[in-house]
Amino acid sequence: MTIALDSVTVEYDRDLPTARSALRSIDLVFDVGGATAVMGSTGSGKTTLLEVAAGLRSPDAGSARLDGDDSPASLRSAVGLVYQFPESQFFEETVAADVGFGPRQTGVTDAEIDERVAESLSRAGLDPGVFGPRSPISLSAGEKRRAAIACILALERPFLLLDEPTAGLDPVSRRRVVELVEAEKESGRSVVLVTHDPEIADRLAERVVVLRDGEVAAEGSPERIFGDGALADAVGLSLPPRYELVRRIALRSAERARLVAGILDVPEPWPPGPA
Amino acid sequence: MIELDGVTVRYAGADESALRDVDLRIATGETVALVGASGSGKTTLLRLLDALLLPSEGTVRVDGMDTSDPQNLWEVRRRVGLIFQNPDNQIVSTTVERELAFGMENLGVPPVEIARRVEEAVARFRLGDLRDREPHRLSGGEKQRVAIAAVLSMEPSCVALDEPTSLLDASGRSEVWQTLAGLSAERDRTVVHVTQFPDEILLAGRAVVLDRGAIVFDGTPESLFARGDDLARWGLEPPAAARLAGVLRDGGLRIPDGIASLDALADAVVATGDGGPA
Repeated sequence: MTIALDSVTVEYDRDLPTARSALRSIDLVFDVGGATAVMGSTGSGKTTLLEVAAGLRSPDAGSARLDGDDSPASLRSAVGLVYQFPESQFFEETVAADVGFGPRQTGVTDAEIDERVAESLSRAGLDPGVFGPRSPISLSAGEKRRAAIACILALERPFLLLDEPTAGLDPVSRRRVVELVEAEKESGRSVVLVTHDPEIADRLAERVVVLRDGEVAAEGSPERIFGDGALADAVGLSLPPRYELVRRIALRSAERARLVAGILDVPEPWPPGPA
Repeated sequence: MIELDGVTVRYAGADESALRDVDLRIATGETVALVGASGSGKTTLLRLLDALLLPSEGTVRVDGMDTSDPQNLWEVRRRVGLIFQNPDNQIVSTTVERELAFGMENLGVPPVEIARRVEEAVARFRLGDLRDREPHRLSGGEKQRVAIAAVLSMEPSCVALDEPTSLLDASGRSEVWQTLAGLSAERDRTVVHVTQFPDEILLAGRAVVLDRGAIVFDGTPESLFARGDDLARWGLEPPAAARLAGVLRDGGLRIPDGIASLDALADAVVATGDGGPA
């Protein structure tokens, strides 16, 4: 199963003086399996890219297709999109009802809904017996975030798209979300996540896509993207700490940098250039 | 000077107090990082400082003024400027320049003085190119810079920031860090900075940790990060440099304890200078 974006262009405020391109002629393919991290500064088009890939926004030019089919409905049937701050979308009286809402809309039977609710809450690290009956607004920030992600897991879509799933969380909650995404990935789901955190991209993704002004500025393995300090500087990315450390040691001693790169598993070439 | 004495805050309907019997003194000119897990009471404490919230028990004083005395309300709020996590929640004007003037207009600052301080803020926060722009069209880092500049133009003696970088990208974050470093360097400006990021805690001279509404640590950031297992219990994580130092030690390098920054770790790695694993 493959999502293919072909020369996708999206413009906001078309034909108005405030018109601007959010995406310009983007070519990207998301195959089933593995994880892609989409990075880039605020306003570079990351969220718009997720919306197009999820079939929630039609491109103004180009196409988004699932296995060749460009109907938005087919994309939507394959993709679950977790928006940024998804916990602001709770509206049911209990967590279980909120998690069950999505499947109910797609015609899943009551018995299966209960099963899916229990299973997705468990996958999100929330005991269904404890959290299911509770009001969503009584949860802590980290629990709300994971419950909101469970709402999308319950749809059982092969592609899981997440828009800054760790934004605004404390370190412990952040780690639990990262572990959740890692487990989804290991269970065979394809993950596309937008993140500002290079450490999360480095840990979760096999591929990093860097957007700048609506265009793909760079695309490659984390080793390639983060190993190229000049590229990272040019596109305004900070480096994962282990790369940044090797880069700073290399400025002092190439021989020590080689030693540390070996221990920290930072492949050559190390990120060169000014920190 | 900020003084909290025996402060307890209970929200209506909540089982537990958001703050429990908190005593805290912050001297004028100090920069304090206020840290702790979600729900530990950080934002509650911050809201007490400018009387957005009053304690259920105990007293909060700003420069000697009790915040619960309605007579002090204006002066307390003039002296304590609050910066929210999301600048969209506090920017109200249609241009950057008008935003800078808005707070001062409400304080009744004379127009000539407003104009002078706007120019000062534009120069200091490099807002020259942005002054006629609409705030909602700026980047996150630019917006937060405008929000901080607008609050500072009211000349508060204390700036209280609630996770000002948690929604920003890397460049926005470093932009706010530079601004914060400038503020901290001012001797008569008190900065109280709520943050989750270890690297930001290190920018402060003092770290105060809240755990379920109580102060459980008060000391230097370096001594905080030396607290090992306590960190996880308080919902904190060590800085990246401390974690990497542990990996390098396991890999056989002789790295001293207490390293908190990547530059210090890089220096330590080069200083061990023994050419290979110990």
